[in-house]
Amino acid sequence: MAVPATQLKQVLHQAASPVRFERVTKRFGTVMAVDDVTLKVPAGNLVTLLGPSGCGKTTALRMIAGLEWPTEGRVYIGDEDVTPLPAANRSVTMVFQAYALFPHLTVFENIAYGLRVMRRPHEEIRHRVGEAMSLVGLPGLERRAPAQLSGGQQQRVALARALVMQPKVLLFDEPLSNLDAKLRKRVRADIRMLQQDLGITSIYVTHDQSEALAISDIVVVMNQGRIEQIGTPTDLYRRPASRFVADFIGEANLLPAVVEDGTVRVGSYRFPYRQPGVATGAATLMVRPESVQVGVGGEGLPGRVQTAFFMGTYADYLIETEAGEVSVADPRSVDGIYPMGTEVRLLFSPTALYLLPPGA
Amino acid sequence: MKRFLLAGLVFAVAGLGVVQAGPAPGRVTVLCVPDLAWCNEIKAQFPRATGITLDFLRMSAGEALTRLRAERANPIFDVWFGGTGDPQWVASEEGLTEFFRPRNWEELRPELREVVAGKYIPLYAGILGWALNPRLLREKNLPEPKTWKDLADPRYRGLVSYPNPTTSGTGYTMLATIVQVYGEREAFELLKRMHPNVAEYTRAGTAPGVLAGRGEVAIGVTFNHESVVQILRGFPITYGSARDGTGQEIGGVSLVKGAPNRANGIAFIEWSLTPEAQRLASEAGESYQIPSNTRTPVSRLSPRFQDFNVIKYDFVRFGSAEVRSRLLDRWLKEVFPLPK
Amino acid sequence: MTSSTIAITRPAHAPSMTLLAWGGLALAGGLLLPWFRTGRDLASFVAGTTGIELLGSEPAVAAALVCALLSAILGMLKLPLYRRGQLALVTAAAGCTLVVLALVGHGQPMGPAPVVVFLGFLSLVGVGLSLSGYLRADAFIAASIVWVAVFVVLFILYPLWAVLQASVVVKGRLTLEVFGTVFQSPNFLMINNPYTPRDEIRIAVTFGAVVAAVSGLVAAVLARKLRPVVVWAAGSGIAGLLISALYLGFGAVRNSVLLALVVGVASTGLGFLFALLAERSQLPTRRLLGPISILPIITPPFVLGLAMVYLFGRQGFVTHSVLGMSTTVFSGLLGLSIAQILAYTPIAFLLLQGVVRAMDVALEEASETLGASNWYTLRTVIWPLARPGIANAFLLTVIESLADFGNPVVIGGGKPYLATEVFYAIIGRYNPNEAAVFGVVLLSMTLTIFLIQRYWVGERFYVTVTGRPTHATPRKLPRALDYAVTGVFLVWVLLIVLLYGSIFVGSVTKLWGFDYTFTLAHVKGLSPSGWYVFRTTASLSLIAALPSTALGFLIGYLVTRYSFPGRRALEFSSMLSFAVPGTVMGIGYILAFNQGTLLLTGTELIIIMAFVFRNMPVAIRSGVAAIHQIDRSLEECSTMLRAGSLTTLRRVVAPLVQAALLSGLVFAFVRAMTAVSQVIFLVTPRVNLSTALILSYVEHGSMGRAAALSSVLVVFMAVVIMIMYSVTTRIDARAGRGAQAKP
Repeated sequence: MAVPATQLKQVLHQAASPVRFERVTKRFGTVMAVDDVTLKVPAGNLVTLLGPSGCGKTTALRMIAGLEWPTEGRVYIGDEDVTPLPAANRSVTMVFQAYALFPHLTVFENIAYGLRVMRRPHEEIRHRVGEAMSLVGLPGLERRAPAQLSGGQQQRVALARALVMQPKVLLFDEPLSNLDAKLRKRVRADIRMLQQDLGITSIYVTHDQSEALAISDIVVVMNQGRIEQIGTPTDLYRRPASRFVADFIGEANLLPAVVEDGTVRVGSYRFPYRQPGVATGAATLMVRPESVQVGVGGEGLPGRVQTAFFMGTYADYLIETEAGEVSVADPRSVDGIYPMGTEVRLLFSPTALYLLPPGA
Repeated sequence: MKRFLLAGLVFAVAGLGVVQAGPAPGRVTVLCVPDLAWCNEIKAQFPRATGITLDFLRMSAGEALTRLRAERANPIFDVWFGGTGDPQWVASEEGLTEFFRPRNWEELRPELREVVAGKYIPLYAGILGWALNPRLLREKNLPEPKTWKDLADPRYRGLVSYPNPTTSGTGYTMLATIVQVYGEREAFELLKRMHPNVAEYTRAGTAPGVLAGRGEVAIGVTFNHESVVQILRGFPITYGSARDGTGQEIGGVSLVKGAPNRANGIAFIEWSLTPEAQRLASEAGESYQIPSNTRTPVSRLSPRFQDFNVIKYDFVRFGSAEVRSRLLDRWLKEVFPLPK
Repeated sequence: MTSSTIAITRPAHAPSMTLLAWGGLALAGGLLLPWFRTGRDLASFVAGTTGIELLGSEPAVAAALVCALLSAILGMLKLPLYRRGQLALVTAAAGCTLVVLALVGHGQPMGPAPVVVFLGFLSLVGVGLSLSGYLRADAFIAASIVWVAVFVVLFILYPLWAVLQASVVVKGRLTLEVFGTVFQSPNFLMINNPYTPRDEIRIAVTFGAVVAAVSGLVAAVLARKLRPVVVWAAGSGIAGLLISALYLGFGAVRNSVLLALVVGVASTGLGFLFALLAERSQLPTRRLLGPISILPIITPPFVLGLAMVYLFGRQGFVTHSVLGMSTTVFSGLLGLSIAQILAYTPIAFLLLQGVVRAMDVALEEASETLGASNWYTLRTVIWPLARPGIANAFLLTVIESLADFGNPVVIGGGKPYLATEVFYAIIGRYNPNEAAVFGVVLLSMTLTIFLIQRYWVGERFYVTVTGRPTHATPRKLPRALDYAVTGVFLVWVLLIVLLYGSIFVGSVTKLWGFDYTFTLAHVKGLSPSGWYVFRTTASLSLIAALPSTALGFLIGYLVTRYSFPGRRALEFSSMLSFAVPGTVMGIGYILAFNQGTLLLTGTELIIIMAFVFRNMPVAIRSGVAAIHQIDRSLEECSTMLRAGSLTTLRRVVAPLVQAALLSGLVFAFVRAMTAVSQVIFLVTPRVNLSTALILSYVEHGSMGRAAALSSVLVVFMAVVIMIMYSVTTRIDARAGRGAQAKP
């Protein structure tokens, strides 16, 4: 996406503000949608709210937008407590899930909508809309109806419409869910580039963990109205704070283990492993499927191949062990796979292991 | 969007146009019970005679009474014009209307003045009878009825209609007439025997004449002057009355108590009693009763008293609320619900 | 060009123009306009009753105006907005109370000042609710909610309350006497007539017992189990008892209920058959169903009754001229049933068409792949799926039949019906209390059915008419069934053509039944009064159409998009008009607006109000349906782009529901043109309406003129509807180029 240096860019950069949630709770009747959440989004960052549907991420986003109001707690944008302010007065804009383009207006009028509401002069509207359109790479489509655009183009119109208002914070509500898989990858890269280029504070809601990992500065994993973990994408993948996060971000084998002095034992398999801050005793070991090696004989956790599928770049196994079923994605088995029923030994590569904190 | 606003503006302006309401002076509002044509005619002629604008609403006599009762605290109408006397009698007793002696009181027929004196002002008189459809009778090979008793003849099964006395002044006049001719007990026996013959008890007094005119029934009990109207409209009917004695009505005009335009109301009533006004009834108003002013020429078409056996109808007794409600209640319980 | 951010967050102490404007409006209106009228005329102001002149003598008026002043001042005060909102709420609520006190204390009909002041205060209440944050909505929405609530209370609930009151309060005394008298009257219901030799109750009981025995026996043979035998015997026994008692009985309840049952069953049955025809037939005749289904909308309710007389009376064209019969069987229950069935089948058809269309064809295909025959599929798949929809259509046609006024008046054969007795009790027996009792009985029946329909059937019956094309091609009807139903339909069409034809022919025929010479006398006879009344009707209907549509859509919008206390109550009471028979509402209006400060009878305004609130529920329904089609995020997006809700309504919602708005407008207009039952109580010397005029023509034997005016009405409305269809089709086509509103 070509991004010319414009005034709009500067303005957006200046406008970018931090967002803060302070002990925010939202109840719908008896349902606790957001439960005592405290959160800080630094200015200029892209923060993703990630979680399964119904985890409260969308409600949280809508409370920033001013489309929902917290039952308890305060919401700040910059230094201002915006909790009592209606959506219209918050200097926040949003890219909606289905883009919410006004079907009866042209592309130009869609982008100009907010400026027209504010009764800006015609000349200014023309200029600013043009700027926003070139920023997102949509020149020449002013007079089209939204229905005549492709999914990706519609997405950009929605983005331009949000940017033209020069918001302090830009919100995205699952903006890619209406695109097909291929396009999704490209558009999310575009969004990330543009966001970094503009340095605008963005809050992005998705239930797709790969999308979250790809795009975010910081990911906030939410579950049942609470924050499970806040961290960078690598943090979350490498060092999940809970079984939920471990499971939700990528695939994980969670095995019962016993931590002893300098070693960890899973079933009968004992191997050297140290992780600072982990006490001896029972623990849960997270093993990513790609960090398990399958071999016959020798050391390792003994097991039997339950299912085995050839997947092209790797072999997908489900192996029954004394510690439970272990899922394996073994890239070294491309030449031949172990058939079902084979007695095998599993080796864990120590760099990709993580002991979950007790009680997580 | 502009279009919607424009449409709104147009609606609003149109609304203002309709909701304009003229000032009260020079206006009189009349509850008009007689034929619509007559009402239209007084609406046209009264302003010419006096310069006062006249508005009217046509409704049945019963409706008129309800209306006045409902609006007792704040009457909308000035004058109650025309229609059977009974409800005007009731209205007068309830204090809804007030009696006054109009300027031309002495010109009114004494026999009418006497029976209703002090309750309302006589406007016209009419004779109860029935409209007959000779074609239908011929088709069924039946003679014309002569007496009330003939109406109970089983040969006329389903061919008779009379107005429901609980809702129609004409119907009550018929009921009261039969009671006066035969005595109450025998009258009700007669009505019960008549019941299988009755195709429809109509709500309005004029309706049986219409039914006879349309050939729905052969005999429709109504006032004879109403039958004249149907004949003139082209309905193939004749009219007649019971030879064993028939009743009459004295239509009237009353001033509403607390009328908003009282002076104009009085002016209208006095005008309505003049021969010039009363002529309008037959000449242009399709109404052929006997006018109350002796000086008004009686139309050639009007049924006259000397041609029928009209009983000496006891307005005082049968106008009283007590007798009235007893008879109606009895009819409603004993006659109306009988199976046919 | 701005170079810095446009932080629109207003300082909390900024002046609030809304408070200032509404407070100022209330103050100015209250000071300058007259507070009272002398009489009915809306322009008959009492001299010396402007607020300025009343300040000294009427403390309530003065206090109310002080409240208005305070509210306006609040707009300028340096207090946080929410605090000012709370204060505005207090001053405005006090102001409302004071206005009411001033009016009630004075007792004279109100002039324009209290209207302006009161509405100003209502808006201020809304603004206050919004600013204080008690209601999470902007001032426009909050004020709309308050306004709408007050209007609904005033013009729907209050008149109904007046009816209830009149039924139990006679001359200021609380009594059940009127109920007693009415319930004992043969006009109401008489099962056992003491003046007949037979004992009706015993016959009914015997009949019920026989039915119970027979069906119990049949059930025993078929099921060979105890439970079905008991259930069937008891059920059919009670049904047999009730039906035979009704059949032998007399009175309004008997006639109305019997009629409603017959009409409900027949209309629903025919409606379902026609729905199958429309959706599943292979024959071209099904295309006629669309146009024919609009007929009842453009036909004044009693016109079919009138036509029945023309065709099937003793001198009827069919019965007499063609068949040479002489019969009056068609006047009374039978003829009335036919007229109502003709009128209400299209309603049932439209309801059931949605049901049939929504049926998942895959289920039928599944049944077929399992080897079921068409008939078997119809019986075991289609019928159970359609059953709730059919119950729904049945209940609604029963309500329509019970509430119908026009047809029983014209061809009821002089028998009592509930809807007409309400009217006759007032205009024939001059007894508003009796009318109120009949009204209460009728209302409780229709309301019960309405509640059953809404909460019992309604929950099982979800048909969403999305207009999305279904991908599967619908199954065709079995050929034999197709031909049979088409046959029935063609008879129906023939009847409709004959009936409407007879009205048109009747209006240019000298004397129906006797003299069929062509004449224009009836049409000419419409001038001047007929045309004048027609024009009045048209202009009043037009004036009423806009607010009823706007209000309906606004309520639809509020209840679908906002949650606020009393939302369900508001929705329910504004839909009440569906269940309230017009005659009941009519006496309600007469009783409620005939005296005191709310005196409105005799003005055009009350007829307009009657139209507005009578037709509003239809607009609410289509508004809700239309708004459901719009993705909510469009409005949210508009809000986030700084548009207030009024702007959002105007610039986003209204353009998207344009076609629905237009057709809502036209239907409100057409329904007002054809309304009889409610407004028949409200017509006045200067304001008469076409339908009332037609009725009085019929009553006085001017059948030709009645037919002429009816023809004019029908043709006029057919033209209006056709124009509307062509316009909305164009709008839809244009919108079709735009995006789907919903993903």
